[in-house]
Amino acid sequence: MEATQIQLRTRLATFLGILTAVGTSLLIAVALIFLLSKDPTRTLYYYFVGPFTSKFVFFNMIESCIPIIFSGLGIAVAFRSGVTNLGGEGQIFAGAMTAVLLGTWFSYMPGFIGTAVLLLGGLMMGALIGSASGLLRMKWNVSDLLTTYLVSSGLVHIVNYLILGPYRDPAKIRIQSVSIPDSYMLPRIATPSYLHAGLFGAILAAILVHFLMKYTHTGYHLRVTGSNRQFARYGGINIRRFYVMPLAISGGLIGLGGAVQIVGRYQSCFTDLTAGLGWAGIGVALIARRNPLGVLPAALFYVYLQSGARVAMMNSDVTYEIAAIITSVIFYLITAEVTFEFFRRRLLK
Amino acid sequence: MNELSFPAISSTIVIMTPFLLAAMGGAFSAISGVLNIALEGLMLNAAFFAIVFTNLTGSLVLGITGAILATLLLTALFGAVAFGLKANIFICGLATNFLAIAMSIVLAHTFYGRTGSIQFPGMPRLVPLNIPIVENIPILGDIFSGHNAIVYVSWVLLIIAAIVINRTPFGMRLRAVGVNEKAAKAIGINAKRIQFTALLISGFTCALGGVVLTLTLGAFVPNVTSGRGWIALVIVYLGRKKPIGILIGSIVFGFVEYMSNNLQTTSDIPSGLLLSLPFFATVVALVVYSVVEQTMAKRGLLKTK
Amino acid sequence: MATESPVLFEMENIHKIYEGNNVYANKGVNLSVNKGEIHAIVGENGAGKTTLMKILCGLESPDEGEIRFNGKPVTIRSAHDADTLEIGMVHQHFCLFDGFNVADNVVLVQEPRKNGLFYDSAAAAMKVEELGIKYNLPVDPKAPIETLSVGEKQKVEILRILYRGSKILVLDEPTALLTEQEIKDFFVTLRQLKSLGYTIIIITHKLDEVTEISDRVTVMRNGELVDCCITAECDKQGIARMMVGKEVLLQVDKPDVTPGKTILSINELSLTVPGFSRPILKDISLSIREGEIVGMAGVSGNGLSDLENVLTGMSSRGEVSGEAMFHGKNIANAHPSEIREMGMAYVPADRLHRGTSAELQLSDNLILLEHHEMTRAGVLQGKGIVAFVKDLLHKYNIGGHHATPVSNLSGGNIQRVVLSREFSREPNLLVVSEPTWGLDIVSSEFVYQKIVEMRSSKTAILLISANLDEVLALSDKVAVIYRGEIVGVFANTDLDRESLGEYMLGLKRQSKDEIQLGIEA
Repeated sequence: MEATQIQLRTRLATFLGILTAVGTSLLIAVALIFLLSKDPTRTLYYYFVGPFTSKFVFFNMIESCIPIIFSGLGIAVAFRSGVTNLGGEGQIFAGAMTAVLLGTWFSYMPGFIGTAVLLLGGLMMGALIGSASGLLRMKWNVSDLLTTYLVSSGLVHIVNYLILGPYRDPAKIRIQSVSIPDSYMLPRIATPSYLHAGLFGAILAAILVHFLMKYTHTGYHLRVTGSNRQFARYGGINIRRFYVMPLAISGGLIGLGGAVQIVGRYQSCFTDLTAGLGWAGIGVALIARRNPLGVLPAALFYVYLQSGARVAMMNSDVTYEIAAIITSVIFYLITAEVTFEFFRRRLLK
Repeated sequence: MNELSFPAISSTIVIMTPFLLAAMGGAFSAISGVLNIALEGLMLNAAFFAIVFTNLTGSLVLGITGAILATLLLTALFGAVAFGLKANIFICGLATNFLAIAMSIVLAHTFYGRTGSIQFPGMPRLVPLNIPIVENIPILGDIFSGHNAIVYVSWVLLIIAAIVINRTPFGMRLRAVGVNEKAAKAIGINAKRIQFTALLISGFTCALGGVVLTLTLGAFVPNVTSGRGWIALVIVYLGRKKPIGILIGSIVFGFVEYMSNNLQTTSDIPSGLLLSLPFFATVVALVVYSVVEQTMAKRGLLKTK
Repeated sequence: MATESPVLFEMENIHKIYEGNNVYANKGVNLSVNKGEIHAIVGENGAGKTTLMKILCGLESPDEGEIRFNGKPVTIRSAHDADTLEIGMVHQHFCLFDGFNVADNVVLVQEPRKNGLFYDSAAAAMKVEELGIKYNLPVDPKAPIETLSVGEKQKVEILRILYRGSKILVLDEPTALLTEQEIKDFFVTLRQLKSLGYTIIIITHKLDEVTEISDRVTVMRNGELVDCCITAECDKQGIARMMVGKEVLLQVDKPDVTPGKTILSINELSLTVPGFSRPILKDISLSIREGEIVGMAGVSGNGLSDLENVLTGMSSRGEVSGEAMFHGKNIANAHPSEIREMGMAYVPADRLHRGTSAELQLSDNLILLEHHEMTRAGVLQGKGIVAFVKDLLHKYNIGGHHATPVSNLSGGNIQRVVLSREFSREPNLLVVSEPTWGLDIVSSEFVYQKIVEMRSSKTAILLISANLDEVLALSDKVAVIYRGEIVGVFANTDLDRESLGEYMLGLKRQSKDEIQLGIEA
């Protein structure tokens, strides 16, 4: 079999493997609905078709994609570079709160600049957090898997403190932080839904990250180091340098996503802002096989599952967390080598 | 209770119990060469089912048994996918954590029509047991008396764990697999079976850890585990996978948690900051440990194993 | 009275192909072992000895062939089957576990028990002490395994298979890391075991052992059986000849090239690793000039790969002393970034894990060294890269295009990828190790052709290889390494395999002056 054929078939095998994982999870969704709902067919309708039945729901679904794209990109960069970032939750939260703080402290800038400053702030905060773990790994070989998670968990509490305490908005009944000025908010692009211009930013980010990883010098170093450390060293790459950078970029992207949530959607920070977005990033990065452009459709699929669950919850008797069960199934199966081996063996005979 | 009682001691002991249990189980896995990051989810799973089954059966014993079985099932799923389908063990661990959270919410909704805290007035709870005579001894009384049954069980389990790891053939093979998996296979040890068994053991101990959280409270609260499973992982690492080290680590982190709780009620330091304390303390501990280990290794002071 | 030992087991017509290539590990091999004899299996590295024994011990399964015990066919598909047939193997790389003592290591998997549940360490220690006395393999059962010398560790390995009741002992390169005295003790042990009725098979390339201790010897070469004979009826030279072969199988056209100045000058290079009784490399001295191929020949395990690692900055163990001067700098154990910048090309023995990155695509693998030049303002110049890659793929006849993942390629093509990348830099120094390991004839010929072309372009080339044919076919000068030392340096004029084989196997050795002359010639 000639080389291009082999390559095509390998790609097909990988795609089929992903399809199996995703398909199984959907089957489980159906099974769950039959098990838990008193009117399964109706629930199924709302679950799978629901997100498309109204413009409002549909565009809101797209909006919920936005932070997940940033998160997925961040994780994809980390995994591809051979490091682990489990700190998504804390990084998003910290990025969001940084945006709020900057918006509150510097509230008299022209709108456009204000928005940019807030976004930059979120990015830098995320990058700082990631770099810390990277530094610890580089200098003392402390597990990035553990430190990213632990630091993130600690940060969540600190941000919660800020929201509940010094930066709480006394005028609101609901517990939330003070708001950033209206002028700093991104424009909505599909009223009355919440979809905002941050979508373009997310797509742009995906393109930029793709460009970085595939076409730049730095991206090349990251990919080579992430794929085979011995090979990287053999070629003269100083692999010790590549712990801080990927974690900084990863944290930065995720922190940026947090800031986007403030500047595009919520205008203020509240305690459940992150709601699993950090973990969603991991799921999305895995479905996309760590490919930055693939993060876009993967994120869309992910929010489709969640959106369906939300619609089903509002219109029938199941609870929203069905989506989480389905997500776990995807997580279980998406790295199951046995599936991929199965297809590879069949197609490459 | 006498005048010389130190609530700090008895509280720390109770608080450290879930850490101890989770870390104990995590140690079995770690010794066999597998990092089990699902300790958190397994504890949560048991915490939830403990309430479900205890309420259902009206019996603490049956409730605890049910929680253990449910968690062993989840662990078996985790192991089957990771070892049988050759999936990435970390991702599977994450999946297990999510599944546990999701199941608790979905089932709470299905069984009880509500999400959020689940509480049943009149449901049996774990109560502190006071040992006569001992309870009146200063200090020792605080250490050894007045805890619920599972706390005492955890001590027994720690001793059993130490014995199993160091003095049984299973423990030997467990350690051999962790030291050199390839060589272990070459001499006829079924490494995968050992690792799977270790995983199940960690599921069992985590189950007890989760049970003690909700059955003392008498309620299931979302995120009742709040990161203990992850800190338990660090305890395993810092304790160098040895029972003594794990005990010390659990005491230390139990105390940190106690201080955090205490300060929340007695001081003006905001709770958010106090809640973050255990996590940052853990990171600091990790860093200090790594720095010390590497400096000592460089100076040739460290035994390699 | 002539006592004829009955045949204990036979392996007939064993075939085994390495997965992925079409290279035979074993091709139609027959082996017949008598009860109670010491049987040596000899051959160069790659001859197939270890594979044959792994098949016997159930760790590999043959593609064809039959095994018979006492005339009856048996199937050995697992270590357990081998256990049942009372076969035990001591591997070349010990299966011992740190953190346990000697007795633990011996009894692991068949641990004596106390009250059914507990490990009876006292019984284990007692049993091990008994065995130690009975078989004259005294080791302290309570000693932590990390504190043992290599020789003692080997005793533990042997005790383990004896403890398990093995009656047929397969020992793979048992004396590779032993001192002279330890080897003497080892032979005493073997003789004693033999007198107790054990059947022993030794895999080795050391002819002293063969003539000293074995009753019969089977010689293998290139996966095939050469001959089996009674040791007393052969001499070392005869066996060496059988191992190494007479005809020169390889002929490569080498144009005349006059060597230029010295590019790499190695002086007294040594490598000591803690835990080993002798230095891994000892006072290696060599010089390599422009347009010259210096071949480093030796049997694998004598320091070839360590030399490769030290010269290319990929060494991960031990302390290096001495120097390797390249462009006025000592590159011994330097970081690869420095060495690469100075213009060294390096084709590693491990092309799968070091020479390429399987999950990356061809272009990523090929631009590893050149990508600095193909970058402008931090961005890789795509068009330039594609053109560069296309050119290399064409010149080196590599199937696929720039986006093909390397994992899709065959062994021969993977090596072409490595060569094209390394050679296209027009380096002034090339270190190439085991270049045709696992490759078919066509790919091998291509590799040789390219190496010769490099030589014509005045590159200084160090060829490290356990494959004597290729060392002889390519080298202008040959240095032989034995036990980490250079034992001979020769100009490659009228050199033949037999004589080189004797140096490689430690039978002969040049004096210091002769070596010095050889280096300077």
